[in-house]
Amino acid sequence: MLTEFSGNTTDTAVQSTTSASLISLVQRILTSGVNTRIVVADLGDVIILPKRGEYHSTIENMPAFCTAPRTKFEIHLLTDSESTTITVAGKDIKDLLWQAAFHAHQDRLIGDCSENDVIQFKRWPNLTRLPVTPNTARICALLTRHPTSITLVRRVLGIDRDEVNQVISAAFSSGIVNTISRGPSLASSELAVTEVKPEQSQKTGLWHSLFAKISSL
Amino acid sequence: MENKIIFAGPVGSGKTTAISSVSDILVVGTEAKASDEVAQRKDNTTVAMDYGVLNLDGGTKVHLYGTPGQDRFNFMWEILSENAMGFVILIDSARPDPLADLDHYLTAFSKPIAKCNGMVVIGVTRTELNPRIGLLDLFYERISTFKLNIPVFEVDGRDRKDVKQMLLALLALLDPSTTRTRPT
Repeated sequence: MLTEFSGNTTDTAVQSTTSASLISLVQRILTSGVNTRIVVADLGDVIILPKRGEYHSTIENMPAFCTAPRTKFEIHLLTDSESTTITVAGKDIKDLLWQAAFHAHQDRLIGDCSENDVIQFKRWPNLTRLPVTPNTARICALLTRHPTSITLVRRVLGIDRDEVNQVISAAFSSGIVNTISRGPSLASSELAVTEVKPEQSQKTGLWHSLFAKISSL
Repeated sequence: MENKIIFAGPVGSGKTTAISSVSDILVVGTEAKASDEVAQRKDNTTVAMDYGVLNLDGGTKVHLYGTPGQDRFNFMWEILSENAMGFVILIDSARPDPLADLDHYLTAFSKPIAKCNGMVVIGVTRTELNPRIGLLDLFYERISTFKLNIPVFEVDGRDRKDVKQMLLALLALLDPSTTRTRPT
């Protein structure tokens, strides 16, 4: 149950009194398994259906929703009958978690994550349906192939700290990150990636031209 | 490698549209009136190839080739794929068995894909017709059986932003900085 909120009746709007961000709020809803509507006045609402792993949104200004003060969130627990009226497919809840972190962590890493952590992405995020930065695809390409420390991601790709932190925070939130340096493979050879160097290529010039071209489309 | 990117996938998956949405020239097509079961889906279909271009600073060109979707034109697939720098494979999620289509194209293009070190992006089209949570997970599961580590995106070929993001992902795979070797 969502015990950290000041009420949990099924049809009464209650104001969030916790210090939790939208991310932890969504995570608690997922843990509780209770279908829930989150409302922010003037912005719209998000319905979360934990058992289906999906959400439905009327929000047009998602950055504002994700960065709204916690006191603005109103939580409504849905009854079974309310839930069963939602028959159309929603969107993957992992996409909401990506967006929440992306907009809330524009310059700093999400909690529990250190710049010295060696991480790897389990898979690519669905970048065509998510907010991205100019170098998000490059970060994903590197981290889906090579476990790499967050500090080294910046250095290898030549990207500034804020952009790397924003993308990695979103990836952490959406659950696609393995933290290698805290796992059982700590002593494995994978950690040697902190000592690798970029591969040289004669096609670097073409690549830069093409990247600039596609980015400008 | 030549400066060319191949767009492949079944009939109606959006290859011609995707190339048109980013090409610097009007796409040169080889469309003919569909006369078989394809006619139930659309009036015309590509029979040899589609061709578009990205003009880069300094006069360099990157050629965009779309392969014909029908298997009976698959002799063109090998010809067009030779020495490609990368592949965009579009899979129509509204067809009866999109995962079988994925298998078919990854298998058919396995040699040129291996030759370019697995530079492939998968675009899943027409998802709005059959929205399913976890659809991309199924694609990733199937792709893992091919020992490939490649991105899968939902794509609308009519939307330049979607095609742009697919091409940026392909370029990210090609980025020398993201393919690293251990020091000797």
